[in-house]
Amino acid sequence: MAQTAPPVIVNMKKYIHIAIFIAVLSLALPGTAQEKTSGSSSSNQPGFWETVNDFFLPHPEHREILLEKQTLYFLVTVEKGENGWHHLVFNPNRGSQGIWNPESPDELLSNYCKYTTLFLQSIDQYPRRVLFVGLGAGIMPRFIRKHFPATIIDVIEIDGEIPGIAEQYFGFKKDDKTNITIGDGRDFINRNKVKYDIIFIDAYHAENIPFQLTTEEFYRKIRDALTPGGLMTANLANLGKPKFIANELKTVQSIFPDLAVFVCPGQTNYMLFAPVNRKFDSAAVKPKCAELEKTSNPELDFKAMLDTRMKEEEIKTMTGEAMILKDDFAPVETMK
Amino acid sequence: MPVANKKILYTIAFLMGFTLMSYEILGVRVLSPYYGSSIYVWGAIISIFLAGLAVGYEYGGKIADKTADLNILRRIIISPALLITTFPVYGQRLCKSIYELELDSRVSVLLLSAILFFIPCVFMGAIIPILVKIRAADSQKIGSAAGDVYATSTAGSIAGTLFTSFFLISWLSIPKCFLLLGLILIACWLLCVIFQLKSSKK
Repeated sequence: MAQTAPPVIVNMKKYIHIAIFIAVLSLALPGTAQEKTSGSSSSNQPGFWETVNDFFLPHPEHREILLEKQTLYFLVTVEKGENGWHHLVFNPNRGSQGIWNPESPDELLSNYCKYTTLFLQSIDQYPRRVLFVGLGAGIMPRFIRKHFPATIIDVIEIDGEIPGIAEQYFGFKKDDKTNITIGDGRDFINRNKVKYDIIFIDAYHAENIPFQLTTEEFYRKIRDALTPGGLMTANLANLGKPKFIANELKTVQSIFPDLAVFVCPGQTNYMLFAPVNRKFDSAAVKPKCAELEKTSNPELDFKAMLDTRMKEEEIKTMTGEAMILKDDFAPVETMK
Repeated sequence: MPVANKKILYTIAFLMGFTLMSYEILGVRVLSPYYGSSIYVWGAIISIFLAGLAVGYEYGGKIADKTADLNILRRIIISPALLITTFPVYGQRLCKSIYELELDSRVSVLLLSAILFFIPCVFMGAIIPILVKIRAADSQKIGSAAGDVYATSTAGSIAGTLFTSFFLISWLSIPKCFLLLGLILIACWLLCVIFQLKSSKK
């Protein structure tokens, strides 16, 4: 027994050395990487935030950090750019989850929000009840409240800290016709018993795509929760995973055959838009859009947005070899 | 009773660890379409697995002190093997019926995980002390026997975790994954049977 003891101790020493080496290495790595990013100056354009492959917190010289909070799910930061815009960032990697200009609170800055106004032109009647799967900065709920004061707004958000952050930094206001539920979107829609006129799905972010919100079964539940004239919009961030996008398009199309797809400038996002029982008629919404363009902010170029619609053949080519995602088989994490 | 071959014991320890963690990751995949993938689902599944293992270790230790041989090992392995192989048959039905009780999400997910995963984990946990006892039966080196068995089974767990999350889920549908795990345990059972036959011939 005594003879075997020394080699064990020698081995332990070797392991301790390896552990110290790894610890030093892990401390040194982020430091060098941060130096690399500090040299680049930020342009503070929303496009920059949506496309940049920036794994580290932005340099404080260019962006003021208003809040940094570790929640159950994310490291949430609220950052203020040089132009005063507020950005909501989940985890210090890439992409902004919401942009808001406190000096012009009603202006829509992100592509997701701009396209959503386009889709809203296709509804014929006043929406009585809408659902948001994922709250984010709460820019769209705010927009809906402003234009449709009587609409009941339901929100399902996984992270209990987000509503407070949206209220404090992004001008979101919770009123007595706004219901916020904290939980998973799938659990909510499984148990849902009411009908919605519009369902907004904005629940895929960064590298984390919850597979249970991508499947055929999920979208069938979404369709069942819509009124006969209802509509569904989904925001698919383009995370450099074309296979995922193709599979997702095919999956949604299997439930909503009349799906319309718009590709945001720079291919940052794919906007999915699916009215129940009817097609999205670009020609019909054009006059409505022209009218709105005159009255609202000039940033909204509806004609340019309508032109980014994917043609049916394009969708067909893209989804040609794609598969329909199911609860039993939806390996979204490994799709490239 | 002949002392079992070292290799067989370690193979069983490794495959048991592999199956256990693979089963845990698949468990999350089964519950997510109902409860989502909120932190509660992970918390519930991990705690139920640990509870099952704890009870399994306790009973396994008691059994090992009475009899520790391939025969008892074989009889314990067959239960989780059958439960996991047939999981696709009963899993979805149980999920549905518990989910539809409309309990509080946390209570519901804990109850369902307990019903689905607790019992197989008890059996898989019980294997470990028996392996230790068989391994240490002919020597005084109980410490290294326990260390070896735990190290091997944990190595299996690492392999099971990585293999399932990195590859298996993207290769096979969930019911097929369960079938595969069941087959791995049935292979362990066969190992015991074959070795028993061999040694009884001698």
